[in-house]
This record gives sequence, C-alpha cells and structure tokens, in this order.
Amino acid sequence: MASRDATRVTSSGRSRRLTALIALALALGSSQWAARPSGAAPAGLNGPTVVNLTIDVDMQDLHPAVSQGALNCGAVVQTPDWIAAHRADLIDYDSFVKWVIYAAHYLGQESKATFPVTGRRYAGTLHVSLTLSPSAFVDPATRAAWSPAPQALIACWLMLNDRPAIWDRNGAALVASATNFASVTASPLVVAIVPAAPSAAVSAATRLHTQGHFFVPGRVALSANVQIGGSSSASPGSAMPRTALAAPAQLTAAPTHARKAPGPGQTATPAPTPIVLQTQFDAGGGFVAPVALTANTTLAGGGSFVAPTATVLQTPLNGTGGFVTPLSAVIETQLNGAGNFATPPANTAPPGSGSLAPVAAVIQTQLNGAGRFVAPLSLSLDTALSSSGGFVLPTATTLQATLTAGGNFATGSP
Amino acid sequence: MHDPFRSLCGNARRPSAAAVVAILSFIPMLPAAAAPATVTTAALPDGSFLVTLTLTAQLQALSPAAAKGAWLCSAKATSKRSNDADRARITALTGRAALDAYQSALIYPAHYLGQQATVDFPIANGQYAGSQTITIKVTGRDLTDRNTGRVIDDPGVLVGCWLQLYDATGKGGFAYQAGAAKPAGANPEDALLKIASVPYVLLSAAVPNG
Repeated sequence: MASRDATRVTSSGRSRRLTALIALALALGSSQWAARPSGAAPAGLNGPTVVNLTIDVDMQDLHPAVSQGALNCGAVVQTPDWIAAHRADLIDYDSFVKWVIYAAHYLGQESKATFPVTGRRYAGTLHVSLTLSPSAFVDPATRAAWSPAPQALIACWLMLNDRPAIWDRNGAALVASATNFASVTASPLVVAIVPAAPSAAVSAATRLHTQGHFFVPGRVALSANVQIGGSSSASPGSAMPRTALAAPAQLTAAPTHARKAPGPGQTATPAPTPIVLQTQFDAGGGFVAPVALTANTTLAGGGSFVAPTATVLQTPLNGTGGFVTPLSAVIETQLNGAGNFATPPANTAPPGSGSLAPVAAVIQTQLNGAGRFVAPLSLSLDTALSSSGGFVLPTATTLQATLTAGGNFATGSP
Repeated sequence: MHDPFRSLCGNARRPSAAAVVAILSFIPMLPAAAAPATVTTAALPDGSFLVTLTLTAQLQALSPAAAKGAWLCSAKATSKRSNDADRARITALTGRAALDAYQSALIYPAHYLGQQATVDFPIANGQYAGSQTITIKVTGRDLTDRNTGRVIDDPGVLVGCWLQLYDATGKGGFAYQAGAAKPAGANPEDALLKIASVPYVLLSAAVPNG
C-alpha cells in the first residue's frame, strides 16, 4: 500500500513537470521569436495592426424583454484562399465561434460593442476596433508569413441580452416568451474582409439590419355592466323578468350575450310594448280576471301604466247598448293612469251613460224575431249609441233587416 | 366559516410561475352613472399580459339571507374562435348546467394556471351596487400553436366572473340561475343561491399584437 502511494506521488510529480514543460514550449511557440521562421523577417515587429470596423445597425420589433444588444467581434488573418473557402462555413453561432472566435480569442483579437435597446428597437452606428497580433500574420505550421498578401476576416455576431441572436427563418411570428427573446429574422452575423498588412491601420464598413417577429399580447379595452337580481326564493311577484335582468357584459371587441341595463335609480326605458292582461269585465263594467285583453300601453318606472293607447276589449253589447259577456267587439278606448277606462272614450261608455257621437262599430250579433239582438252573429252596423245607451238611428248602416212601425227590426230580408 | 371556493383552491396545485399579479381595488357604492366595466390587457416582457376587469354591478332582490357576495374571476388565453364557442355554449345553458359548462371551460383551466382572482363585497337587504377592479396575469403560452410553435391564427382571451353568495355564517357558493318553472326548494342554501338572472359575466376578446 505504501509503495503504491509513493509511486503515485512520483508519477504525479512527473506529470506536473511534464505539463510545465509543455506549457513553456507552447508559450515559446506562440511568441514572435519562436514564430520567426529561419530566413524570414518576423511579421508585425513594427507595431500592432488596428482594424476599425464601422457598422450601421438598424433593428426593430425586437422582443420586448431585450434591453441590451451587443456585437461580439473577432478577427482572423489568413490567406485569401482560406478565407474564400471558409467564409461559407460561417452559418451559425457555433461555426462563428469555431472559425473566428477561438483563434481571435487566442490572439487577443476580440472586441465587443454594446448598445441599448429601447422601445424594442435600436438604430445607430457602432465602431469596433480590433488589434491584430503580429503572430496573426504568421502561419503557425510553417512559421512563415501568410502568402500571398493575407486578408483579415472580421466577423461579429449579434448578442441580445448577452445571448447569441438566433436567425429565425420561419415566416410566422413567435409568441413572445421569457426564453425566446434572441430571435431575429435576418442573419445576426456581420462579416468584413479586408486586406491586412502588418503595422497598418485597416478600416471597413458594413451594416446589420434585422428585426424581430414576435406576437406580443397587446392592450385590449372592453366594457360591460352587470345587473343581477331576483332571488328565486323570494315571492313570485318580486321576481324580475329575465329580459330585464340579463347580465350585461358588453364588449367593444366582441359583443356579449347581455345587454346594457340602466344604472341604479334610473327608470326602465319606456318604449311602448304590447302588454297582454289576462282579465275581463264583470257585470258592473269592472275588470275581473281572467280574460284576454290586449292593451297597447307602456310601463313607467314604477310599473304603472302611462299614456293610454288603443285597446281591444273582447266584449259584446247587449240589446240596450250595455256591455255583456262574452262577445267580440272592437272598442276604441283608453286606460288612465289608474288602469280604468278614461272618459270620454272614443266610442264607448259605461252602459246607459255618456254622450256619444256616431262611430263605426262592429258587433258580432244578430236579430231575433222580435227585433232584438241575439248572440252570436256577425252584423255590421254604422251606428251610434244614444245618451241612454241605445242605438241612434239613422246612420249610414247596411242592415240585413227591416224596421217595423214601432221602430223595431223586423225579421227577414228588407 | 365554510367557503367552497377556498376549499377548492386549498386542495389544488397553483404553479408558482403563474403567480397572479392582482391589483384589487374595491370601490363600494358607485353612483348610478358609474362607468361601465372595462377590461384591459397590457404586454409584459415574458409574453404574458395583464387582464384588468373593472366590474360594475347592481344586485337586487337577492335572498334576504345573503350577507356577502364575491366575484370569482378567471381568465385564459386561447383562440378567440374557441372562446366564442365556449361562451355561446355556456350562455345557451341555465342553472347548474351553465355553471358546469363554465367551470369546465374557464374556471378549471384558469385555476390550474393561477389565473384567477376573487373579490368580496357586502350584501345588505338583498342589494349591492358597486364596482371592483380585478387584475389577472395571463400567460401567452397558450397562444402558441403546438404543432408549429408559432402564434395561433386568432389569439384571444376569455374572461369571466361568476357570482358567489354567502349567508352570515359563511355558507353558500356559486349562484345559479333557476328556471322559471322550478321554484326554490326547501333547502335554505338553494334558496340563497338560486337567482332569476344570469349570475356571471363572460367576455371574449381578441388579443392584438402589441
């Protein structure tokens, strides 16, 4: 056991020494002295090479979470053939890192330009300055300077909130989420290729125009009121009609099922509506229930009848002009505020009273042998009621009967 | 005190990611000319949006036993076409059937996503008039077509508030519209909850691209 441990310690010590030697060799190899090939002049000895890149940037409709953008830039110096061959390999962020950033990072040829994003957009000009290492002009394999005249490939990748932008080639919008803020619709890669010579300043200009394509849930405004009432446990008479109680939920964008209701204290809209009352007349001319009665009237806020309108009463007239039941008669009358017939009505009055002008009346009756009306039969009379409630004669009336000397209707045809 | 809704919530999971950012304000007894209810949604950086509902209500002729009311408000985002269909289906129903359909279409999914808010209000003499503002944070995740990963054709939001009624002891629950041919039964709780009109507000709206 102790021997094995000692061996391990010895082996570990050798390993450390070997690692140190390799590191030293690498450091020497990367220096300009080590890079100098025999018989060749050391490249870049006269000073650094500065590359200035100007980038026109215009971005809009970015993800609403994006607050900061940046261009991560790197440069490599290579032969024109190499650059031409590998330019097409820069297809995504991984290839950008592989072909540009690794080498640029190793030689310190990186730079980053940041910019703020407000209102989901940025427009401006960015300036990126990179310093090319003298070693960049030497082929590390041969220690010879790149030949023929090398070029510098400067590539920048767009970063959004410190994340590499993603080129979203799909035409449809993404729903904005907490994680997809880096998508843009154009390539986030900027590339410039310029001739590169040691100790010479190089300038280049390029552009990056792109945008996001997001669906960002936006602002909606709707309006509605609610009016609810009428517990079913209350007495039946207190239950409100459903139409008056429908929960109003009116949307500007999409109408709802409910209607707008008046506010508290407001009266209901008094639009005249046919109301059917189940009532009839008793012997004294008063209403009794139930019989069909159609009244065209309206309801006030308190539920009382308002302005009287034409009313159809299902009732007949007796032989003396009084109302009897049941027979069909059309009577022009009105209802007053208390629900009674208003006086004087157009063409009727309580039996045996009132002063009436001749009006048209349709009476569903017939005459018996003694000249008296019997029911029921259809007969049209243009007549009137006297003040005593009897029919006034003559009027423009077509009667299928004759009158006797005593003033009664005779039987048979005239 | 027994509270059916709180019992329901207490036994269910509420995802922390869907924390409701609710701004609730209670403005009792607005005048008759109170502003109509409004719903607004505002964009958020994570793709969710706030649905704010200002609900102006006038309640009357409720059971004399009613001492407290509450609006249980729920929201969910999906296609407006689907929301409209849900709303049409619910509004065509009454009574318990309407409540069942409403719960299935809105309350349950909204509860799962934490997209609910409840506001209480007092009831006196069977009446209440006032206004509440409810804000619910709604995720936009359901606006994504699961097949394409892209936004659906007609993004919309379904927002609804259902009336809850409670007596002085805290017993009660969801109100529901009783049919005209069905008078209240002997159960006092049923008598409390049955009302003659629609006990909810249900809104369907398009969600525009902000």
